[in-house]
Amino acid sequence: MLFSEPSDTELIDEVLNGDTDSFSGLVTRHQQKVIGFCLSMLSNRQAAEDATQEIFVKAFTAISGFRRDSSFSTWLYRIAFNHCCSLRKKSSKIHMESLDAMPNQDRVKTMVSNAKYQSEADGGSALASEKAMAALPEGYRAVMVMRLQGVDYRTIALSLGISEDSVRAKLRRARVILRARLRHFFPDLMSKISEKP
Amino acid sequence: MKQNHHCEKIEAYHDGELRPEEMLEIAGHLTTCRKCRETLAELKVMETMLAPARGADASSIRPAVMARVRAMQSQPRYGSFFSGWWKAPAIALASCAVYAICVEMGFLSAGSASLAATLGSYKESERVYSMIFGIRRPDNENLLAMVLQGDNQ
Repeated sequence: MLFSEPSDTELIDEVLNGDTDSFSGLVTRHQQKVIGFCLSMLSNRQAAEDATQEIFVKAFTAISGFRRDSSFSTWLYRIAFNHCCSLRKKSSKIHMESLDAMPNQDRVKTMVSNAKYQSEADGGSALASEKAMAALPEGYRAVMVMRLQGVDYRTIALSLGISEDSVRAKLRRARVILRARLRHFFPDLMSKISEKP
Repeated sequence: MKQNHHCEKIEAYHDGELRPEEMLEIAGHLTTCRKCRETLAELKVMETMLAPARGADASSIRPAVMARVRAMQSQPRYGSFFSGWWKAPAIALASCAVYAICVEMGFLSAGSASLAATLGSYKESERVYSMIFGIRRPDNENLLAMVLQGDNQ
Protein backbone atom coordinates (compact mmCIF):
# COMPACT_ATOMS: atom_id res chain seq x y z
CA MET A 1 0.00 0.00 0.00
CA LEU A 2 1.38 3.40 -0.94
CA PHE A 3 1.41 6.10 1.68
CA SER A 4 1.81 9.64 0.43
CA GLU A 5 2.51 12.53 2.74
CA PRO A 6 -0.24 15.14 2.86
CA SER A 7 0.49 18.33 0.96
CA ASP A 8 0.76 21.73 2.66
CA THR A 9 -2.73 22.62 1.43
CA GLU A 10 -4.22 19.46 2.95
CA LEU A 11 -2.48 20.10 6.26
CA ILE A 12 -3.72 23.71 6.27
CA ASP A 13 -7.27 22.49 5.65
CA GLU A 14 -6.97 20.09 8.57
CA VAL A 15 -5.68 22.87 10.84
CA LEU A 16 -8.56 25.10 9.77
CA ASN A 17 -10.97 22.26 10.57
CA GLY A 18 -9.69 22.26 14.13
CA ASP A 19 -6.98 19.59 13.98
CA THR A 20 -4.18 21.54 15.67
CA ASP A 21 -1.78 18.58 15.53
CA SER A 22 -1.65 18.84 11.74
CA PHE A 23 0.25 22.06 12.17
CA SER A 24 3.15 20.02 13.49
CA GLY A 25 3.49 18.51 9.98
CA LEU A 26 3.89 21.99 8.53
CA VAL A 27 6.46 22.91 11.18
CA THR A 28 8.48 19.75 10.55
CA ARG A 29 8.48 20.37 6.82
CA HIS A 30 9.56 24.01 6.92
CA GLN A 31 11.49 24.47 10.18
CA GLN A 32 14.96 23.87 8.71
CA LYS A 33 14.50 26.50 6.01
CA VAL A 34 13.03 29.04 8.39
CA ILE A 35 15.76 28.61 11.01
CA GLY A 36 18.43 28.80 8.28
CA PHE A 37 16.88 32.01 7.00
CA CYS A 38 16.67 33.50 10.51
CA LEU A 39 20.23 32.47 11.31
CA SER A 40 21.55 34.24 8.24
CA MET A 41 19.42 37.30 8.88
CA LEU A 42 20.16 37.63 12.60
CA SER A 43 23.68 36.10 12.81
CA ASN A 44 22.89 34.65 16.22
CA ARG A 45 21.84 31.06 16.90
CA GLN A 46 19.73 31.66 20.01
CA ALA A 47 17.98 34.64 18.44
CA ALA A 48 17.36 32.58 15.29
CA GLU A 49 15.76 29.72 17.27
CA ASP A 50 13.54 32.12 19.22
CA ALA A 51 12.57 33.95 16.03
CA THR A 52 11.71 30.66 14.28
CA GLN A 53 9.35 29.70 17.10
CA GLU A 54 7.77 33.12 16.99
CA ILE A 55 7.33 32.96 13.21
CA PHE A 56 5.53 29.60 13.37
CA VAL A 57 3.27 30.80 16.18
CA LYS A 58 2.46 33.90 14.11
CA ALA A 59 1.74 31.67 11.12
CA PHE A 60 -0.60 29.52 13.19
CA THR A 61 -2.45 32.56 14.51
CA ALA A 62 -2.86 34.03 11.02
CA ILE A 63 -3.45 30.80 9.11
CA SER A 64 -7.12 31.56 8.55
CA GLY A 65 -6.00 34.68 6.64
CA PHE A 66 -3.73 32.69 4.30
CA ARG A 67 -5.22 33.41 0.89
CA ARG A 68 -3.57 30.56 -1.06
CA ASP A 69 -2.62 32.84 -3.97
CA SER A 70 0.96 31.75 -3.21
CA SER A 71 2.47 28.66 -1.62
CA PHE A 72 2.62 28.22 2.14
CA SER A 73 6.42 28.50 2.11
CA THR A 74 6.26 31.84 0.24
CA TRP A 75 3.84 33.14 2.86
CA LEU A 76 6.05 31.80 5.66
CA TYR A 77 9.15 33.47 4.18
CA ARG A 78 7.25 36.76 4.09
CA ILE A 79 6.40 36.45 7.79
CA ALA A 80 10.00 35.45 8.54
CA PHE A 81 11.45 38.40 6.59
CA ASN A 82 9.17 40.94 8.30
CA HIS A 83 9.83 39.42 11.71
CA CYS A 84 13.62 39.41 11.26
CA CYS A 85 13.60 43.00 9.95
CA SER A 86 11.60 44.21 12.94
CA LEU A 87 13.90 42.34 15.34
CA ARG A 88 16.97 43.91 13.73
CA LYS A 89 15.39 47.37 13.89
CA LYS A 90 14.47 46.88 17.54
CA SER A 91 17.91 45.66 18.56
CA SER A 92 19.71 48.46 16.72
CA LYS A 93 17.36 51.00 18.33
CA ILE A 94 18.03 49.61 21.82
CA HIS A 95 21.77 49.65 21.12
CA MET A 96 21.67 53.25 19.88
CA GLU A 97 19.51 54.40 22.82
CA SER A 98 21.85 52.83 25.35
CA LEU A 99 24.81 54.49 23.63
CA ASP A 100 22.99 57.84 23.46
CA ALA A 101 22.32 57.73 27.18
CA MET A 102 26.05 57.44 27.95
CA PRO A 103 28.43 60.34 28.35
CA ASN A 104 30.74 60.81 25.35
CA GLN A 105 33.86 59.20 26.86
CA ASP A 106 31.97 56.10 28.07
CA ARG A 107 30.33 55.77 24.67
CA VAL A 108 33.67 55.64 22.88
CA LYS A 109 35.03 53.13 25.44
CA THR A 110 31.99 50.88 25.03
CA MET A 111 32.20 50.97 21.25
CA VAL A 112 35.91 50.09 21.32
CA SER A 113 35.42 47.22 23.78
CA ASN A 114 32.46 45.88 21.76
CA ALA A 115 34.61 45.89 18.63
CA LYS A 116 37.41 44.04 20.47
CA TYR A 117 34.96 41.49 21.87
CA GLN A 118 33.45 41.01 18.43
CA SER A 119 36.81 40.38 16.80
CA GLU A 120 37.82 37.91 19.56
CA ALA A 121 34.54 36.06 19.26
CA ASP A 122 34.86 35.97 15.48
CA GLY A 123 38.38 34.66 15.68
CA GLY A 124 37.21 31.89 18.01
CA SER A 125 33.97 30.56 16.66
CA ALA A 126 32.16 32.55 13.99
CA LEU A 127 32.71 31.35 10.47
CA ALA A 128 34.20 33.67 7.91
CA SER A 129 31.33 32.92 5.57
CA GLU A 130 28.87 34.12 8.21
CA LYS A 131 30.88 37.30 8.57
CA ALA A 132 30.83 37.77 4.82
CA MET A 133 27.06 37.30 4.84
CA ALA A 134 26.68 39.73 7.73
CA ALA A 135 28.30 42.43 5.59
CA LEU A 136 25.28 42.44 3.25
CA PRO A 137 22.40 44.88 3.68
CA GLU A 138 19.29 43.03 4.93
CA GLY A 139 17.40 43.18 1.61
CA TYR A 140 20.35 41.65 -0.28
CA ARG A 141 20.94 39.14 2.49
CA ALA A 142 17.35 37.90 2.39
CA VAL A 143 17.52 37.41 -1.39
CA MET A 144 20.88 35.64 -1.15
CA VAL A 145 19.82 33.30 1.67
CA MET A 146 16.65 32.29 -0.14
CA ARG A 147 18.62 31.63 -3.31
CA LEU A 148 21.11 29.51 -1.35
CA GLN A 149 18.14 27.53 -0.04
CA GLY A 150 17.18 26.78 -3.62
CA VAL A 151 14.21 29.13 -3.85
CA ASP A 152 13.49 30.33 -7.39
CA TYR A 153 13.46 34.01 -8.42
CA ARG A 154 9.68 34.18 -8.69
CA THR A 155 9.09 32.87 -5.17
CA ILE A 156 11.75 35.18 -3.76
CA ALA A 157 10.06 38.12 -5.48
CA LEU A 158 6.64 37.11 -4.12
CA SER A 159 7.95 36.55 -0.60
CA LEU A 160 9.75 39.85 -0.34
CA GLY A 161 7.21 41.87 -2.30
CA ILE A 162 9.65 42.97 -5.02
CA SER A 163 9.92 42.36 -8.77
CA GLU A 164 11.88 39.51 -10.36
CA ASP A 165 14.20 42.08 -11.98
CA SER A 166 14.90 43.50 -8.56
CA VAL A 167 15.70 39.99 -7.29
CA ARG A 168 18.16 39.52 -10.18
CA ALA A 169 19.82 42.89 -9.51
CA LYS A 170 20.06 42.31 -5.76
CA LEU A 171 21.51 38.85 -6.27
CA ARG A 172 24.13 40.20 -8.68
CA ARG A 173 25.19 42.96 -6.27
CA ALA A 174 25.14 40.62 -3.28
CA ARG A 175 27.41 38.21 -5.11
CA VAL A 176 29.84 40.99 -6.00
CA ILE A 177 30.06 42.00 -2.32
CA LEU A 178 30.35 38.37 -1.15
CA ARG A 179 33.04 37.57 -3.71
CA ALA A 180 35.12 40.50 -2.47
CA ARG A 181 34.59 39.51 1.17
CA LEU A 182 35.43 35.85 0.57
CA ARG A 183 38.54 36.83 -1.40
CA HIS A 184 39.56 38.78 1.67
CA PHE A 185 39.01 35.84 4.03
CA PHE A 186 40.16 33.03 1.71
CA PRO A 187 42.66 34.57 -0.75
CA ASP A 188 44.27 31.20 -1.60
CA LEU A 189 41.06 29.35 -2.35
CA MET A 190 39.57 32.05 -4.53
CA SER A 191 42.79 32.57 -6.49
CA LYS A 192 43.05 28.81 -7.15
CA ILE A 193 39.68 28.93 -8.88
CA SER A 194 40.92 31.68 -11.20
CA GLU A 195 44.09 29.77 -12.07
CA LYS A 196 42.31 26.58 -13.12
CA PRO A 197 42.88 25.88 -16.84
CA MET B 1 28.78 40.90 -28.81
CA LYS B 2 27.02 37.57 -28.52
CA GLN B 3 29.91 36.39 -26.32
CA ASN B 4 29.16 39.17 -23.79
CA HIS B 5 25.48 38.39 -23.98
CA HIS B 6 26.21 34.82 -22.95
CA CYS B 7 28.61 35.87 -20.20
CA GLU B 8 25.88 37.98 -18.60
CA LYS B 9 23.66 34.95 -18.28
CA ILE B 10 26.07 32.79 -16.29
CA GLU B 11 24.43 33.59 -12.94
CA ALA B 12 20.98 32.82 -14.26
CA TYR B 13 22.40 29.60 -15.78
CA HIS B 14 23.89 28.67 -12.42
CA ASP B 15 20.56 29.38 -10.71
CA GLY B 16 18.64 27.33 -13.30
CA GLU B 17 16.54 30.35 -14.23
CA LEU B 18 16.90 30.13 -18.03
CA ARG B 19 14.65 28.51 -20.59
CA PRO B 20 15.78 25.01 -21.70
CA GLU B 21 17.07 26.27 -25.09
CA GLU B 22 19.04 29.05 -23.37
CA MET B 23 20.51 26.53 -20.93
CA LEU B 24 21.79 24.51 -23.89
CA GLU B 25 23.19 27.64 -25.52
CA ILE B 26 25.11 28.63 -22.39
CA ALA B 27 26.34 25.06 -21.88
CA GLY B 28 27.81 25.24 -25.39
CA HIS B 29 29.32 28.66 -24.69
CA LEU B 30 31.01 27.33 -21.54
CA THR B 31 33.08 24.88 -23.57
CA THR B 32 34.76 27.78 -25.36
CA CYS B 33 34.86 30.58 -22.75
CA ARG B 34 37.39 30.17 -19.94
CA LYS B 35 36.26 33.33 -18.13
CA CYS B 36 32.70 32.03 -17.85
CA ARG B 37 33.94 28.66 -16.61
CA GLU B 38 35.86 30.44 -13.89
CA THR B 39 32.85 32.54 -12.96
CA LEU B 40 30.71 29.42 -12.75
CA ALA B 41 33.29 27.60 -10.62
CA GLU B 42 33.49 30.62 -8.32
CA LEU B 43 29.71 30.69 -7.95
CA LYS B 44 29.71 27.00 -7.02
CA VAL B 45 32.46 27.45 -4.43
CA MET B 46 30.67 30.47 -2.97
CA GLU B 47 27.45 28.49 -2.71
CA THR B 48 29.20 25.68 -0.84
CA MET B 49 30.94 28.08 1.52
CA LEU B 50 27.79 30.03 2.27
CA ALA B 51 25.55 26.99 2.74
CA PRO B 52 22.87 28.26 5.11
CA ALA B 53 21.82 26.92 8.48
CA ARG B 54 25.25 25.57 9.31
CA GLY B 55 25.01 24.69 12.97
CA ALA B 56 21.34 25.64 13.22
CA ASP B 57 19.55 23.14 15.41
CA ALA B 58 15.93 22.79 14.43
CA SER B 59 15.17 19.82 16.68
CA SER B 60 13.75 21.93 19.50
CA ILE B 61 11.52 24.05 17.27
CA ARG B 62 8.58 21.70 16.67
CA PRO B 63 7.96 20.68 20.32
CA ALA B 64 8.27 24.28 21.49
CA VAL B 65 5.94 25.63 18.78
CA MET B 66 3.35 22.90 19.35
CA ALA B 67 3.41 23.49 23.12
CA ARG B 68 2.71 27.18 22.55
CA VAL B 69 0.01 26.44 19.97
CA ARG B 70 -1.74 23.99 22.34
CA ALA B 71 -1.51 26.51 25.18
CA MET B 72 -3.17 29.08 22.92
CA GLN B 73 -5.90 26.61 22.01
CA SER B 74 -6.62 25.73 25.65
CA GLN B 75 -7.22 29.38 26.55
CA PRO B 76 -10.94 30.24 26.69
CA ARG B 77 -12.14 31.77 23.44
CA TYR B 78 -14.15 34.55 25.06
CA GLY B 79 -10.85 35.99 26.33
CA SER B 80 -10.17 37.74 23.08
CA PHE B 81 -13.71 39.15 22.89
CA PHE B 82 -13.57 40.74 26.35
CA SER B 83 -9.88 41.51 26.47
CA GLY B 84 -10.35 45.09 25.24
CA TRP B 85 -13.86 45.73 26.60
CA TRP B 86 -12.75 48.73 28.69
CA LYS B 87 -11.24 50.63 25.76
CA ALA B 88 -14.44 52.02 24.18
CA PRO B 89 -16.00 53.41 27.40
CA ALA B 90 -12.62 54.80 28.48
CA ILE B 91 -12.20 56.65 25.17
CA ALA B 92 -15.79 57.94 25.36
CA LEU B 93 -15.28 59.24 28.93
CA ALA B 94 -11.98 60.87 28.04
CA SER B 95 -13.57 62.57 25.01
CA CYS B 96 -16.42 63.91 27.18
CA ALA B 97 -13.93 65.24 29.72
CA VAL B 98 -11.86 66.97 27.03
CA TYR B 99 -15.00 68.50 25.49
CA ALA B 100 -16.26 69.76 28.84
CA ILE B 101 -12.86 71.28 29.64
CA CYS B 102 -12.75 73.00 26.24
CA VAL B 103 -16.23 74.47 26.80
CA GLU B 104 -15.29 75.54 30.31
CA MET B 105 -12.11 77.19 29.09
CA GLY B 106 -14.00 78.97 26.34
CA PHE B 107 -12.30 77.27 23.40
CA LEU B 108 -15.59 75.76 22.24
CA SER B 109 -19.21 76.82 22.52
CA ALA B 110 -21.58 74.43 24.29
CA GLY B 111 -23.35 72.44 21.63
CA SER B 112 -26.36 71.24 23.56
CA ALA B 113 -28.81 72.48 26.12
CA SER B 114 -28.16 69.51 28.42
CA LEU B 115 -24.44 70.31 28.60
CA ALA B 116 -25.23 73.92 29.34
CA ALA B 117 -27.62 72.74 32.08
CA THR B 118 -24.94 70.50 33.54
CA LEU B 119 -22.45 73.32 33.61
CA GLY B 120 -25.14 75.57 35.04
CA SER B 121 -25.76 73.12 37.89
CA TYR B 122 -22.04 73.05 38.50
CA LYS B 123 -22.21 76.81 38.95
CA GLU B 124 -25.00 76.32 41.50
CA SER B 125 -22.75 74.08 43.53
CA GLU B 126 -20.04 76.74 43.28
CA ARG B 127 -22.45 79.26 44.77
CA VAL B 128 -23.30 76.92 47.69
CA TYR B 129 -19.60 76.31 48.22
CA SER B 130 -18.90 80.03 48.45
CA MET B 131 -21.87 80.49 50.82
CA ILE B 132 -20.63 77.79 53.21
CA PHE B 133 -16.90 78.57 53.15
CA GLY B 134 -17.19 82.25 52.51
CA ILE B 135 -14.72 82.09 49.67
CA ARG B 136 -15.55 84.13 46.64
CA ARG B 137 -14.59 82.07 43.64
CA PRO B 138 -14.53 83.72 40.20
CA ASP B 139 -18.07 83.99 38.98
CA ASN B 140 -18.17 81.87 35.85
CA GLU B 141 -21.91 82.08 35.31
CA ASN B 142 -21.60 85.26 33.34
CA LEU B 143 -18.76 83.74 31.35
CA LEU B 144 -20.93 80.70 30.58
CA ALA B 145 -23.75 82.92 29.43
CA MET B 146 -21.33 84.71 27.11
CA VAL B 147 -20.02 81.41 25.80
CA LEU B 148 -23.56 80.23 25.05
CA GLN B 149 -24.15 83.45 23.18
CA GLY B 150 -21.21 82.59 20.98
CA ASP B 151 -18.57 84.86 22.44
CA ASN B 152 -15.60 82.47 22.55
CA GLN B 153 -13.27 85.15 23.88
